[in-house]
Amino acid sequence: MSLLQMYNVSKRYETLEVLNEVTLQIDRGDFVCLTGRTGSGKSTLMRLIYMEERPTSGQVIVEGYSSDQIKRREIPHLRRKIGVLFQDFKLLRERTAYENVSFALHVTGRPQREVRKSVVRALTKVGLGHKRDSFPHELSGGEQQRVALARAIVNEPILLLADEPTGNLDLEVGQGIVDLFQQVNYQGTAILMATHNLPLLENLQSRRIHLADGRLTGETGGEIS
Amino acid sequence: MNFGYAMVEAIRSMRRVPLMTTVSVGTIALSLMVFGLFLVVTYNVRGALLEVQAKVDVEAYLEEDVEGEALSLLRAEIATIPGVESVRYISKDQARERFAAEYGDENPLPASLLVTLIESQRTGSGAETVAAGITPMEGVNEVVWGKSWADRLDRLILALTALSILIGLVVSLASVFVIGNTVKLTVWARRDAIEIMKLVGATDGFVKLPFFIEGTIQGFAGAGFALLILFGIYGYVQPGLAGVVFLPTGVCGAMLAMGAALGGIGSQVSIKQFLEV
Ligand SMILES: Nc1ncnc2c1ncn2[C@@H]1O[C@H](COP(=O)(O)OP(=O)(O)OP(=O)(O)O)[C@@H](O)[C@H]1O
Ligand SMILES: [Mg+2]
Repeated sequence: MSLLQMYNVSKRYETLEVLNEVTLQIDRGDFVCLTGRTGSGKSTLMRLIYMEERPTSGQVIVEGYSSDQIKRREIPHLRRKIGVLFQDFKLLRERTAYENVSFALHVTGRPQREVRKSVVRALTKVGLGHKRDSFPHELSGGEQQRVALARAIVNEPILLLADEPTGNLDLEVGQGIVDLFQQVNYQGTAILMATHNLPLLENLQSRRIHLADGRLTGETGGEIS
Repeated sequence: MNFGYAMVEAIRSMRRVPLMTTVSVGTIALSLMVFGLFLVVTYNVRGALLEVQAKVDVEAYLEEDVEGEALSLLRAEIATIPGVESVRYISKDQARERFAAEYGDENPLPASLLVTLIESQRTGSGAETVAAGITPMEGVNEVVWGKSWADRLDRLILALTALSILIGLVVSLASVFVIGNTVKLTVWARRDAIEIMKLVGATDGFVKLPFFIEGTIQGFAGAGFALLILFGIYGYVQPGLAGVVFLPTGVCGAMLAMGAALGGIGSQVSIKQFLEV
């Protein structure tokens, strides 16, 4: 079974129709790139997946949790299986790289003895093992995004959502981030990346989907055309 | 749930807004102190009143020559009236001694039976009932009891207790409000952290826990300071006011618990508003 299914999902804000009958399927190990101009609804689609928003109509199913049945108290458990990454990193300023990553484990109730090993492993994966005691303001943009990536994958999610992850980075540094995504992807985590940054996609083997006028086009996965 | 981590987060959170936290603890200390001050006064006045109330008694003046067996019978009969604790005989001579200063040499005072009431009966109406029981008895000339002031004491104690409850309520509301506001501020200061907690899948309970701890600590500390200040004031004025006592340990403990509870409640009120949006 796929880990994400969206069936005829529409999302309307008052009179503004952002998504119109969108259908999408993502399987384990997929790498999917989502393009679309500003305001086309990419972030909205992401929020529907981690259930920050509910669809106006249609259904979103992630790992067996369905948007029309999930209870409020179940949402945290769904989110532990999804890593999220944003353009602005969302690191906590007064905490070190290590603390930013361990935060995600502590607040989900992981026992202390498991935390250290997992955090060090995640930071090493993104190549920042040596900067674990640096604060965000002591790190470059690319490094900050790598700390955020470590935080997103430290729970070993089945799906990584990256909303414009290279928006604040230059092409070369952005390329480094995408390379890391590929490594994460090789280890089995599916990835959905929204981006404007078309040059970044040139050398990338991935599924491509495109949002325009509320409609999703391109190869949408599964047997749906 | 990882309580230790939530504790660390709560302290971290208070250190981010040290001024606000200080103001909050200070305000709570002040309002609880006012409450405590009132409690001390009520407690002492009540103690004094109870002492006076212990003197609510009934005195039955006897006709001349009630002695011997008649006297014993009368005493026994009075003792059977419900609400009577004990009956003491005051002879003419003793009565004279009691009032010698005012009355000089002659002795117009009759002998009497001083009737002590059981504690629950030491009120205006209690004394009245007992007095009514004694009046028709053989050998009794006149029964006196402090009707008016006994009733007034009842009402005074009632009023003081009501006022304590009222002040307690006002102070409670104020404390919930103050702590609620401070916690709202720290919630605001930590909105990034809350956003991330929710993103990575922290439960609502875990998001709230540090703020709950924070509110509880502030309330507890406020109550602690209030008691310290009160005790300081008490130590300062006590030598001049003999007989004034401090709050009993149980009440002090209750005030600490009350501070902590108010803090906890206040924090939940404010974070609830924030989380549901
Ligand atoms: N909570 C909301 N209330 C009302 N309108 C909203 C809300 N969230 C998004 N929108 C609107 O929905 C549309 C899609 O927004 P969204 O953020 O999903 O676009 P996007 O594709 O991510 O854009 P960008 O590339 O600039 O990030 C926009 O017109 C936006 O103004
Ligand atoms: Mg967006």
